[in-house]
Amino acid sequence: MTKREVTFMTAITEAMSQAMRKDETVILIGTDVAGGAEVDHLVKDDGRYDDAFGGVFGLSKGMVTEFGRGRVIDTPIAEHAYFGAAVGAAATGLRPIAELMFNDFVGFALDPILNQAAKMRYMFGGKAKIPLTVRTVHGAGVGAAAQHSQTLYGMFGAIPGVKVVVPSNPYDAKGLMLAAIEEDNTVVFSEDKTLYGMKGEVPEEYYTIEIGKANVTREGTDLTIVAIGKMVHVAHTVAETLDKDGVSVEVIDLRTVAPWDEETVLNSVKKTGRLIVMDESNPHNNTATDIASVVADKAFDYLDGPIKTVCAPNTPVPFAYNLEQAYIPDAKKVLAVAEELIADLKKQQVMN
Amino acid sequence: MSEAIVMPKLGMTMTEGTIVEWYKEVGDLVNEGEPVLMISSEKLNQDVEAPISGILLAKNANVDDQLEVGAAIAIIGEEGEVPVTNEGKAEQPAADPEKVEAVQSANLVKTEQMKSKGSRIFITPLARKMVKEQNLDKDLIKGTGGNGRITKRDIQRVLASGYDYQAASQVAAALAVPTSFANVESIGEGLNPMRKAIARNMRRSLGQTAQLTLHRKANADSLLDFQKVLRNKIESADIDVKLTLTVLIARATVLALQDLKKMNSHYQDGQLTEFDEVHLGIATSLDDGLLVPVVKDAHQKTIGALAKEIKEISTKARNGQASGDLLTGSTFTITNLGASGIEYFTPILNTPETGILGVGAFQDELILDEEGQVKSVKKIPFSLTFDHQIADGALAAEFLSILINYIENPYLLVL
Repeated sequence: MTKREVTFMTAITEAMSQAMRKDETVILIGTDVAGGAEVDHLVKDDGRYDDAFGGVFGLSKGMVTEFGRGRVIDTPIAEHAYFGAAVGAAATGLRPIAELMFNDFVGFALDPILNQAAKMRYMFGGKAKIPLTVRTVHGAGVGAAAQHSQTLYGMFGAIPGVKVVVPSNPYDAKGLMLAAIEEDNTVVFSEDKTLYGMKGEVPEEYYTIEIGKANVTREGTDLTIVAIGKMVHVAHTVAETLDKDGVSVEVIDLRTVAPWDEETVLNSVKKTGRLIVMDESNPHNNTATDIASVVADKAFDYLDGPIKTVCAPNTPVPFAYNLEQAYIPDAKKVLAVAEELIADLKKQQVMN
Repeated sequence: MSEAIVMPKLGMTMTEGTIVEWYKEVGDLVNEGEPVLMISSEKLNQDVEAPISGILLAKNANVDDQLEVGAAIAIIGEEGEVPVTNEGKAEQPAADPEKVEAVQSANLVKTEQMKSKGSRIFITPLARKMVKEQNLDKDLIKGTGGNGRITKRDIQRVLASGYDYQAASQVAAALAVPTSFANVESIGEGLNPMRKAIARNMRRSLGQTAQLTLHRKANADSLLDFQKVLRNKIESADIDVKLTLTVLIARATVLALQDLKKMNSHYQDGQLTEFDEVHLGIATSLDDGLLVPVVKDAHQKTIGALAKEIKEISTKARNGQASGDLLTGSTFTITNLGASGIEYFTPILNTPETGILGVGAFQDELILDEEGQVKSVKKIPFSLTFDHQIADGALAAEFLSILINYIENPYLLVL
């Protein structure tokens, strides 16, 4: 059988469509997710919505044609209102996928997520479940400036009762999306917009990836790099560079930011004794600092060097291309930080 | 505006100089660049020139006075100008007691800070756990990780090949020795500057190092044949190079030092530095003393270049033309008493170097050759003094073996 390669974006569309075919309680709701249904010039003569553009990135294009306006629902630009509707729908038997066009708009949608979706199951003594999937988009790198480029999955991850997944490749995107839709608790599914065009092998059939499990994408013995989303690819570049110096790097794709996989990370650090965590978020109170603090506590006696984090600087995302490139963590920054951790390993190499 | 003539610093190690002779008297007119007096330091005499043209207004020192480097020796200015000898800036480098005190106490603080920094040992949690489990003393382990941390690798190295440092009690015992050389200032008192410098260097060397000398002979027959062949070639090529055995031994030493860099090292101020480059000191005797001019970058020089340079620097040294730089910076020294008929001796280390090679006079010896026949050979005796703090006997013996291998297989010298 030949490998079937699709883009990251297609993998998500495919997951949502397969879920909607399998389970009629699954709906998609958000600003422009249908994208022009019933707008005169976008509707075909036979009434089909093929030309409706399907979201700001065109990710849900075609879904309104297949599932109709009853299940692919365009809303006004009123995040608080439609997130309230989505939480209510989830509490009363549907499995909504609500799209927050950019995670930067979270302020408007926060109360339904923070105080309703995340609390109901707990406050109602487990009698309500909130199977809501919040699809949103993060990440710098496309010149979208400070209000459309932030990386905020860590904010959602700080809320008890909310799970957060961040896929790094098309295969994971599909499997995690289907798992998120199946999940009976609220899941924030955060997509890096710069990965949308990335191609990768994705099986056509329906499959899920367990939420809360990290993926060791490269095994090594000297240094662990835990990375999130597109940072996983940077981590692999670093691993290949250090491999030439004789330093063996283990890369962990975190996949789930909350609750992140302590077992996998701790086991790896216990093996290597050294840890770098990569996170494109701003550097304080983020996922990387959380991982660093837990590892410092639970694997203290196994550490053979300080835990390092490589994050974006503590500034808004710059608009200017060169500044934006300087903002995003890259291999050079990780290698500079790694220098202190592997000084003795490199010397060992020379002695051999 | 008057300006001071200050005591120059002629070599890296010079701290003070002695006035040997004044060429000018107070009131004399001097031109910029004109010698005003002669000073001597360590092993050198040098003229000190006027920095500006003007009248010599004042002398601050007499013949045989010693002044610190940077101190004002004399003042040059315009006629009628009042020399500012006592309260002016000219005196400051030497005599401002407040300033000197301030500098000294600053140095003291710095030393203490370094000490307290040195006493804080950084060790990773994992290495700390291993130290506990293996019952090791972390004070004796050198950290090679980032920020000088002791890491797992360091523990593994210590478990495999022993501690990096000596225990404190041993260090204290070693440190106790130099303190018995009390009143170091008085060493060489009453001697001329060159003898004084020699006296101080020798006493310092014996006080600060643990010297031990190994002796071994090498069969010199091949080397003598090689010298003959090379000399013939040089003569027929009409090249002006005097190919002495010292040159060939110097070349062999350079190669051996590159093979065993631990012998090509300095140990100073608690720091051991091994060098890739070889700067070879050649001990040269004078009528009343001894100088060690240095062949810089000897490892980059061919036999021909070594021959030329050794001749050049020893001539300069004998004629008193050696500048300060020519006399400093060596990483290893050769001393040859062969011409005086000495067989073995115990050279004294040229500190902070780790080794010095003594070369003795040829010895005719009878040996049994491979067929069991008695045969006469020429042997050359070597005396290698080394610092037992840095190198052990086995290492010094290995160095001699390597050296002798080059001597007995001299064609290796052209590689």
